[in-house]
Order: sequence, then C-alpha cells, then structure tokens
Amino acid sequence: MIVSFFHYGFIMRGLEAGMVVALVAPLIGIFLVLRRYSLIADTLSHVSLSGIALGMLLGINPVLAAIVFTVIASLGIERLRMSKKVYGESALALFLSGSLAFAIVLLSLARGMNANLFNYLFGSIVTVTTTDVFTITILGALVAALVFLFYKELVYITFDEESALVAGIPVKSINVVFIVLTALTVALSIPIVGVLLIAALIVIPVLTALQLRTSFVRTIFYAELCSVCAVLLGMIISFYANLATGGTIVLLMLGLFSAVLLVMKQRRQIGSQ
Amino acid sequence: MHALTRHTLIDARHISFSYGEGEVLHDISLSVCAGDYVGIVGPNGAGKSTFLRVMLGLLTPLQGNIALFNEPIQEFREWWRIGYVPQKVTNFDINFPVTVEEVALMGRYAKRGMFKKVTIEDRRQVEAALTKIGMWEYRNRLIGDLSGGQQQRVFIARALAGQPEIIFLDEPTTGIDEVTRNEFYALLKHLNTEFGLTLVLVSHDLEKVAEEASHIVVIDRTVMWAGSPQEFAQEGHRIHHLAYHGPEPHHS
Repeated sequence: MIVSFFHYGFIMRGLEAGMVVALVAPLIGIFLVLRRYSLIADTLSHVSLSGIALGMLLGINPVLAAIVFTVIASLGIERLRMSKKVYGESALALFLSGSLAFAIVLLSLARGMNANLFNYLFGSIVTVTTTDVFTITILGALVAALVFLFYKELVYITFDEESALVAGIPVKSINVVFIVLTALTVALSIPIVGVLLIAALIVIPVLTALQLRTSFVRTIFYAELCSVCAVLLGMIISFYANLATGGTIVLLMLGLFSAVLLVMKQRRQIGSQ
Repeated sequence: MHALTRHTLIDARHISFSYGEGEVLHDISLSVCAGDYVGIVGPNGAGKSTFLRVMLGLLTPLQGNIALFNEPIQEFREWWRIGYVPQKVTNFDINFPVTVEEVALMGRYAKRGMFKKVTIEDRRQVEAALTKIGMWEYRNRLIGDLSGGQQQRVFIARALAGQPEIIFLDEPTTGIDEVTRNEFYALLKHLNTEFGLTLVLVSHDLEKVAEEASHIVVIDRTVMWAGSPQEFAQEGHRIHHLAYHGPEPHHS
C-alpha cells in the first residue's frame, strides 16, 4: 500500500517539497519563538495570500508571486518597526489586516478560482508543481545556508541583543536578513500546509522541543525531528484518509506537543517525589 | 610615575547626553588606565548606566568624545578587547534553552568574527574561563537552572572567554543575596589583582565599591566626586551625603 503511495508523481513532488519545508521551518521558528516574535509568521502568511491572489489574477505562478510579495512586505514591517513610529505588534496588525483586505479584493476580481484558492488556503500536495519543487528546494537550501552562516550571531542576538551589539555584531543588518529569511520560509510553506496554517508549522515543533529543556543545538535537532515526522506522517495519512494535508500535519504536531508536555510533566512529578 | 607608564584604555571627554527633555549626563570626563578597577557609584537615576552605555557605544552622546584604546569610538572595531556584563544578568529568560558552555562560547564570537566557525581554540578558552570562575563542572547545565550567583559567574566567564583587556559591569549584584554578593566582589578583586584585568563597575552600593575599587567616581548627572579609596576613607561621610543627598549648603 505504501509502495503505491510513492509511485504517484505528484506525491513524490509533494514529499520533496514537504521535507524541505519541514527542515527549514524550525530553523527559523526557534529564533522567532525565543524572540517572542511568532506573530510575524502569521502576518507574513496573510501577506503571502495577497501574492497568491495576484499570481492567480495575472496568471503567473502563485508561489513565486507570494515569495516576492512576502519578502517586500517583510522589509516594510522591519522598517516600520525600526522607525518606532508604531509599536512592533501594531506594525504586524497593520500588515496583517491590510494584506488580507488586498487579497480579498483581488480574489473578488479573479472569480472562478475558488477550487485553487482552497488548496492554497489549507494546503494540498496535489497543487505542488515541478516548478514549485525546484523553487522550494533552491530557496529552502538558501535559507538553511544563511541560517548556518549567521548561526552564532543569531543565537547571540536572540539571547542578549545588547551584549551582541557591544561585541560588534551588526545587529540591525542581521535582523533584516533574518526577517527576509522568515518571509521566504513562509512563502515556501504555502503548498504544503496552506496560508492559514503556516505559523503552526514554524512554531509548534519548536514549542515541542522547548519542553525537553536541553541545549540550543539539541532543541533545534528535536524540533527538526518533530517537524519531519509530522509532515511525513501527515502527508501519508491525508493521502489515504482523503483529508486536507495542512490540517492533518498541524493536528499531528499538536498531538506530539501534547504528548511531550504530558511526559515531561510526569517526569518532573517523579523527580520531585 | 607608575600612572605615566600605563596606557589609557578608555578616555571619555566632556560627555553630555539626553533622552529627550533635560540632560541625563552633563559634561562628564573619565579616563581608565590598564589595571584600574574603577567604581562608578551614585543614587538610582543618577545616569550611571547611561554613562556606561555611552562609553560602550550603545548610546550616542549629545556632546563630547570617547576614545577606546586610543581610537575614536566611531572607528573602533576591535570589540573583542572589551567584555561586558549587562544589568539584565539576573533578569534574562530563564527558559531559554542554552547551556553554561553555550553562553560562555558567545564571548568568543567577537574575537572569531563573522562567518567563521567556532574552533578548538575557542572551546579551550571557554574551558579556561569557566575553570577560572569555578563553573566548568556546570558546563552542560541549562543557565536557567542555576542560582543567581552562579548565573552571574557564567556571565563573567562569557566576558572572560573573549580574553578582553577591560570588562564593564552594569549593576551586577542587583537581586543577589549578601553572601553571594561578597563572593562576587572577591572574584572581581581576584581577576583585577591576579590577572591584571581592568574593570569598570557601575553600582549604587557606594560603601562596598569603596572597599573594592582602586578608583571611585561618584556621579549624579555630573561628576560629584572622584578619588582613591584612601581619600574616600578620610571623607566618606561627606561623600555619602554628596552622592545620596546632594551638596551640603554653604553657610556664611
């Protein structure tokens, strides 16, 4: 039965793209969660919907359009946040509601696209094209490479931004690079979990790994493990049970999070006795 | 004579600073030489931490100049020569997933430079720094699982790991019990006298700093008094009044 699953071309495309996204999302997620900036993933996912809508309206690849749109918006958010003209969270609210409004207007113009839109909203591996796989792999590798390149600086800034500044680390520039990488990760995740569930893919595996209370490197490893397992199982289950891929993946992640939470609570109780 | 042979590490001249309305710092000058242990003291809100942040380039002064290792601060790039123990040592996220060794390793990042991986030499220096402050056996523990005093030692180790020539400490004993605080001051004294490390310590604890530091600077928006511990011993009561109640009125 499993063999037949791997024989479908679209399944293989979905799996390839899914694995890249599963590996890249926690790399970004760990820094977002620890900097209390998880909401930006949600904001950028709504921004990406505008890109999807524009792509569908203009007849260009919606994922590519979402990537361009999300990266531009991420730079706008960072600039607005740095200017201190509005509070950081308010900047996110501005972009979230603004981009959603823009997407709704664009989608009302592009009538008859509802079936495709459903796939982009909730994720479906059927929508993953060969171009998507290529784009996701190249950009996913770029995100991972840049996170590794700036790894020690990102850890330092996340833990203690002021000391990182005193150490001569160009904090502002690295923050800009990081927000662009976040935008890329969000846009790349659309075909797998859909616009509405991207934030969960980025945040939940990290929250699960954080319950294990271990070193930074190991926390990343466990978040990766949780992410890869949930995406792989979620795709297989959603295929056979005919369920929405994104929803299945996120429910599995939540199940894993709850299980780890319970086990750790029991271990603490045993330890305190 | 001895003072003439020592080189100046920090030279702040006529520093004034404001966050918006009214000056927080007014015309403050301070020189720190190699081997000094400078205690900057004053009441809460006197501008001590602001002055320290200006000296570190975290804030830009309205007026005045700062030279670090004889270079204008704007052109200074050798940040690894400076160690920093921030005020929030006792106020960081205790759930942050980072071990003692990982925290100390951050102290090597300035020396290693951008895009370069951590080397065996970095790990060796981290081991030396953690051993020096008696925390090597805790290297695999999460920083959030340690006591306040132990966490402080780890932050000192992080500063030491970069092999700096000077360390700035901003109110490092806030929220720490008296026994731990005394141990901490003993460690600083040891680092200064045994290893010749230059220290600049900001504190509101005038009496304790006067016992420990080689130079005392009392500030309250501007320099109110500066001198040696011996001079402080002679006029301690007057200086205490000056620092916490302002200048005594002149009687005709």
